[in-house]
Amino acid sequence: MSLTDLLKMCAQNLRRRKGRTFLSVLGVVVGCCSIVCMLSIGVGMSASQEQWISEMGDLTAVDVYPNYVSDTKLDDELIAQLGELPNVTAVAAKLSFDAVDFTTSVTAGPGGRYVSAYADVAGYSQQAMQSLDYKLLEGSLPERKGTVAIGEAFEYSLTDSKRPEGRNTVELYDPDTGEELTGEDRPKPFVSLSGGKLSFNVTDDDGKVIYTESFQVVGKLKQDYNVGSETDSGVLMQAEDFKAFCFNAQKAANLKRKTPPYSAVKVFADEINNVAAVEEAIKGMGFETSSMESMRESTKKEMATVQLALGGIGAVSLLVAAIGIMNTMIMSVSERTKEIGVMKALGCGLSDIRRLFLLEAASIGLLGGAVGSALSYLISAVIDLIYLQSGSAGEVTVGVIAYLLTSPQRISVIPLWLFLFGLLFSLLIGLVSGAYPAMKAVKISPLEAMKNE
Amino acid sequence: MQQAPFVAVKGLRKAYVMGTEVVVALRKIDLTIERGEICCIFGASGSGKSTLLNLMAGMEPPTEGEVVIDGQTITQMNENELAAFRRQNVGFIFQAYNLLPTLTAAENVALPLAFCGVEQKRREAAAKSVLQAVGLGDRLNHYPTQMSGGQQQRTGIARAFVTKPKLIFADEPTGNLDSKTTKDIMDMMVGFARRYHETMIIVTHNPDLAAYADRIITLKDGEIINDQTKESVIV
Ligand SMILES: Nc1ncnc2c1ncn2[C@@H]1O[C@H](COP(=O)(O)OP(=O)(O)O)[C@@H](O)[C@H]1O
Ligand SMILES: [Mg+2]
Repeated sequence: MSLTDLLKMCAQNLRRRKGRTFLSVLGVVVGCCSIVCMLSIGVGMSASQEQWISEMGDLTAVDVYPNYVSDTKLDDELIAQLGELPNVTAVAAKLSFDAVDFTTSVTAGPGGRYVSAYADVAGYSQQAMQSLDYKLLEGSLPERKGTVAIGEAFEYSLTDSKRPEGRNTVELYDPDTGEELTGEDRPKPFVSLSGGKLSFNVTDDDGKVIYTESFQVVGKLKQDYNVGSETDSGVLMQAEDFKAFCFNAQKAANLKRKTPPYSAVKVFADEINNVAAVEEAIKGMGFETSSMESMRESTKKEMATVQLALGGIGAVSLLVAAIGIMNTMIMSVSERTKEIGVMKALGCGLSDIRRLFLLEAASIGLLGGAVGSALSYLISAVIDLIYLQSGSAGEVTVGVIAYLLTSPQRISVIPLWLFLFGLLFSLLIGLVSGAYPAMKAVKISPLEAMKNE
Repeated sequence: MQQAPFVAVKGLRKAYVMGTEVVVALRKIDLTIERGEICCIFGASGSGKSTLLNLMAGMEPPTEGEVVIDGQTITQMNENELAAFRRQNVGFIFQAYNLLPTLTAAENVALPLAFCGVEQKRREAAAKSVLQAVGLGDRLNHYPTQMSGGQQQRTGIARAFVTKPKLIFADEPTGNLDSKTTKDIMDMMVGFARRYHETMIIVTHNPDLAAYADRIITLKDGEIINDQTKESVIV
């Protein structure tokens, strides 16, 4: 028999027992809804987890640390090696005054009136700066020699040397509550360095300035500790400038000339899924690493467990639906024993009989799956409605539901794959439940046609 | 060289085992039937008529012996081959009509053609013309429950003839009908068989039906006790 003939016959048989078909379909609808909605909550939860982690930092970045046991160093040789690893797009090596043998202070303003005794300076290569995702509040990154960008709060770290102790800094915290003052409440710094200059001064043990170099301020960075502390009260400059300054300072201080070691190294993978492999490779080189990946990995595992539990709860109701389909089909087969016997006597092939019953069961599954998956969108919206507690605002309109389905804070999310999963899983449940009844139908003897009641 | 018979039954025996008891339905049947013969298997209830028909139609396997139809040994076929054999060579007329309740008269008649894979248009045309031939041209879209017993059986006859089978089996075809309708139905069945030169095997315990046949094979307790050919029956 052709597929069209089988489908037509299947539709006729399902229609003949409307009530029973309806109830079996309803069972699948409930089962499908519960599994899709349960999983949708899992999907919504993992989406917000992922969002949360990504807000904590660049997911493709890997921090590299020296391993003190095997005595490895963060040097140029390592940078070159890291750059050649597969799936690595960029390497950012940080130079800072943490590891030099001289002291540097910063001064700005006329006559060096504004002073910071300590300088949190970061030196990066041009390419590294690009990959580090600095956000600028104004101006540009230090792309030319002799320029720097300052951190968002750098100006507040400067003290006014012409004011008495205790009143020579701008207080950023409310003296009563201890809270940071932001926005309108935030006082102005003593000096604005926009478009100005600042100087790095190297002093000897007596505090006498032995070397000084000044830089043009070309930009202000937005504070982001995921990128680095220099974005807060530090200064960002080119690695070339940093090295040149160090060599000059070492000369002035009568120190041996040596390239300062890197204080931190970050490696960027081409995509999230390759982060683990990149970390493995770096560990293999004898270094320690850390990234968001390990955190992501553990929350992912946690989420998988949650998904499994939620899916399991949903699956139970789909199992009940499967039993419902099987029951319906077995009843149908025993009721139609005579009919099947007649069809066989008239020469209907065994495979056609099997296909007919599988098709009926699969149709119940597919029908239930289609209705169930579609209905799940509505239920999902209702779950979100309750979750976001915006239900009290007024009546639920199409607009409200449309908003909920695209809102970023949803707890229940049904992506296309979940919709299709609901559909196909229900279809599969139908097929599986139909297998045994179909086998029973195939085994019916054509002699049934000859029996007279 | 003499032509092989159309239907050959050799040493056929059928015994049913029920628990410890063995019921022998057919003892040892040897029989040949020629092409175009209208043959009646006659006998009292329980004499083994239906069993013989079922075995000849390949509906169940014999305990011993074989059945050869048109050169094909059907007692050696598996279930799939038997289904294919029936759909290509055999038509059935049942006592209880056995029309499918979900299908209209036309769809019921077209069903065996659907099993053969004939496309819908041709199927419908064939079903319509056969139904017209049995006088149900105005009942094409009626469901079985909307027709009388006689109309249902005429639909059954149409269904048996629609595939132009070589062989038609009918087990008590008028068992559920009154005597007036019985006559109409028998006239129609036998008339069709003669017109299209079909071989027909009718099982009955009713001597009135036996009168329609060219040949009457009488069974008793699973054995042939009489086999008589009438020369004079021409309609
Ligand atoms: N499936 C069966 N199981 C057991 N005994 C059967 C079965 N079919 C038929 N018989 C027995 O075989 C004998 C012949 O039956 P059957 O061929 O139906 O007779 P008829 O059609 O002449 O009335 C009867 O005694 C009947 O009880
Ligand atoms: Mg009988």
